[in-house]
Amino acid sequence: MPKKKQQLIKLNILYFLIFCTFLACFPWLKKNFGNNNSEINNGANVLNVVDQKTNSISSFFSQLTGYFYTKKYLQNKIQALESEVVDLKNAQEKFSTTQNIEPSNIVSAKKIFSDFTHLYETLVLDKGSSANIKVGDLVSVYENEVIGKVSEVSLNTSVVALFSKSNEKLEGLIAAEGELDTEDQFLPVENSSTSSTTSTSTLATTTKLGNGAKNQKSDTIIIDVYGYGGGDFTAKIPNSIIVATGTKVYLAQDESEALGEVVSIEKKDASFYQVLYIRGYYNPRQEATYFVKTK
Amino acid sequence: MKKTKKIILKVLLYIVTISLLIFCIFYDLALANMNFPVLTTIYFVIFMGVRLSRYLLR
Repeated sequence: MPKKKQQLIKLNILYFLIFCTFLACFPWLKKNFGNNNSEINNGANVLNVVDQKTNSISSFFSQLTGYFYTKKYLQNKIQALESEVVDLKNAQEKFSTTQNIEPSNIVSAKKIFSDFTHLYETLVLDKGSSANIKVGDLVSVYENEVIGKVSEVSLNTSVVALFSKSNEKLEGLIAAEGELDTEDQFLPVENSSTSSTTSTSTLATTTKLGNGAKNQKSDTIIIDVYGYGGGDFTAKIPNSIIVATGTKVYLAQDESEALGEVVSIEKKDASFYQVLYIRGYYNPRQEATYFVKTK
Repeated sequence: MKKTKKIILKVLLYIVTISLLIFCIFYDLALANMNFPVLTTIYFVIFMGVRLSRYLLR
């Protein structure tokens, strides 16, 4: 074998050995000369990494690349702020429309506390009798989305009993289609003693039913709605009545106030009724502004 | 003249490869949050590959 080739092989082996030594020493080198493995998750850390001068090596590289990290972080921040601005604008528009309805009769209040131990059955608002709130006043979120009634009032606070309180029974109005019979336990609006009008301003459909008459048209019927806790309701209606998901359920005592929307319908072949699951407008996790309609 | 040109080119090649090696080692040490020198290993594999291919093709 020529001498030059032998030298080359020796050199290659030497390089390999040097690399192996480097690999073996790497953990120690990293410990002593690394940048302490600073994780770059948010802006503060980015700036810390740039400012960190643990040793000359890491500070040099951090200064070199810190600019790009900071730029990326700032771009993300700008995007987040822009989306926040859009959200705030939407909320402001919604709020302003709510404010324009009847400002004199409506008192806006914030939630102090909600009773989470019993599936959110009550909540405490930061306005009381000093703001002209009385027992029995309706409490709503946004426009015509009612959630409960004032049950107790003190000077600066008031307790709201939610309609969605578990097993709480109340009467609701719903637009339904199908073969209606007045002999059913579910009375049409005209025959109901609790309802003051036959047609509502919010619902375009009207009931024109005589006693014992049957109707195929779209109607507004009164149903018994039971609270389910956590802002939800359930209702049982006969199978012959067709209700679509997304239909709004209104409060029978005040037809302009919506209780919630039908989110799902459970039908069983053996039973004569179907169960409506209604999602109310109360969200326990949302820090919303509540509106009390004073009388 | 030809010999000096060759020497200059060789020196330049050495400078480039060594600075690249230093960069890889420093990058692995200071910036990469890994317990294994990935960049240096890649460099070494390419470096040895070039050397061995030259040796084998001769």
